[in-house]
Amino acid sequence: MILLDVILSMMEPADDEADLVAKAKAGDRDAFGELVRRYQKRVYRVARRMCRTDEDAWDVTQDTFVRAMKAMPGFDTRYRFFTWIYRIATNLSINLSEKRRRRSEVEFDEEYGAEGEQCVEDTAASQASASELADAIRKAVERLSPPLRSVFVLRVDQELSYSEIAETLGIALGTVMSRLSRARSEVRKSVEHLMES
Amino acid sequence: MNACPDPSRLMAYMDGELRGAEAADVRSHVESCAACRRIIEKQTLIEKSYRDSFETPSDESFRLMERRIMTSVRAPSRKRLPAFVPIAAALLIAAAGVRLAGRSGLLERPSVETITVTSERDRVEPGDSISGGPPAGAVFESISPDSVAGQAAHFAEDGTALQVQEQQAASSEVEQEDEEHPAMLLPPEDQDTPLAIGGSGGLTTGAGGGAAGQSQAAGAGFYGLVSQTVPGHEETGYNLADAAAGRTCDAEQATEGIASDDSGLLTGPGAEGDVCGSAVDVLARGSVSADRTVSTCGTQLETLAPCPFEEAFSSPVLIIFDSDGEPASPDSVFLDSCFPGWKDSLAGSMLDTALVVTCEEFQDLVVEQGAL
Repeated sequence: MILLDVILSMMEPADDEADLVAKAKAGDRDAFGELVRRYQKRVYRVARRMCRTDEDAWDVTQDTFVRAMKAMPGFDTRYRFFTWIYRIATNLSINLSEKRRRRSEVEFDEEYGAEGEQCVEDTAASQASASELADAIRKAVERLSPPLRSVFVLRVDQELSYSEIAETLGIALGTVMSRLSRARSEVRKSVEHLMES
Repeated sequence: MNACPDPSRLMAYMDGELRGAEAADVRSHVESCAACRRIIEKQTLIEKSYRDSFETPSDESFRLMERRIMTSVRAPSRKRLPAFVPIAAALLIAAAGVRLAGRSGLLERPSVETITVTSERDRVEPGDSISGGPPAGAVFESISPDSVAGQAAHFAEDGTALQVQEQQAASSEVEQEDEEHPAMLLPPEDQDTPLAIGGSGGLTTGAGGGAAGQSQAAGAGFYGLVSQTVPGHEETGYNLADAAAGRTCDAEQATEGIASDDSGLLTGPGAEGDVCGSAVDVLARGSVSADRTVSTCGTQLETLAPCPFEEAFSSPVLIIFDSDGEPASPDSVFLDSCFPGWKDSLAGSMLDTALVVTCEEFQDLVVEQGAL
């Protein structure tokens, strides 16, 4: 469903969006509201994939748009709005994740360290269900470092092109390729036992 | 059969990102290589499962979220800390107790703690000495919270305010800030903490170095510095934020893409116009040189490594309470990481007060308020 939203939002006439962005830039809050309606599901989904809890994902979603509104007058129209808003969401998610990790470093280690590994192996030994596979993948993605996770989420979940990811994260195309390859390799290795079973 | 392609090329092929001969080469290889096909099959399965497993919240949830967002952006900024207060406080602190407001006779609320600033007015008069504070050429600009007036002061090398100009304040505090940072793309941390206000023509005092004073070295300076991402330098911004958050503290990464020009201003490859301006704002009054040293006004402070976090923990931090008792700090990046929930904990415990405490003291304060 979300992918349908993504596709539909990308099919919106460019002029329409450019007009909305121009109005929002000039302080038109109704225009900004329309941009919120158009992009909040995508922003939430990125945040949810980057954060560990639903509550954090909602916080990031709200904060992303509030900050975007404040920064709107300075928005550089050479960028596409959705890459800009994705960038804000991604970086806020990384900040929040880092904050959470520092707060509960011990819990994190317990969950994603030895126990996490054990969990994957145990599951691999049994008959893996689709939900177990999905859970193992989710944990594997959560264990990625923020730079790898953001590239993975933007490509695999949001299905952005490499150039869109590069624009969103402000990194070179080659960096996108290498990070994505590393992220996929790490995720694949983490769930490999499960898949083979 | 050709050798297996580099994994990143194989993945790019899978994603349809290769074109022409390169795509044909990889396709030809994959058709004859079971191992590569297997990798693609596994990856495809994993990624499909990952996408399909997402549970989208109800439309009602998004409607509620939309209302929350629009309420937030429409709400008046009453609770927002006046932009100039931390800057004024920074100057006060840097002056080691020189009470600018009191000197001008305009202090309206009495001191409560170590140093008190009012959210009403802080003035700099020509001849005020800010020894050890703002560097030569520094610009102090304040915008009064009631949007009536502001002032700008230029400082001499010995810290004396040479020239004070009254300025017409903007009609709105938020709008004024946004105009001052036209290319701001992302504030990864608390936007309520104002950055340096000033043009790109001179070094500016601000939340970073300004708040901490020159003697505080790189630690706190960096927290201000990294509280903004430099447009056009997102990778740089990220790395800086990373370093400040103690994630990598990799000096090489932290300085990636950054250079400082002869005047000590921050520049970067591809930096143009507003990018440069923002870089200056972000940097406040420090600079990062190619040899990984951090300098302020030409004075070398230290190299980026070791982690500035550790050093900052024993350094003073500035906490400012506005007239509603809402706390804020130029060091919020650091404080948020080390003391999650500190703002909620301290909210309302003081009014119109600026505290300068060490992190240890701050921790005691937060513990006393029951946050940790």
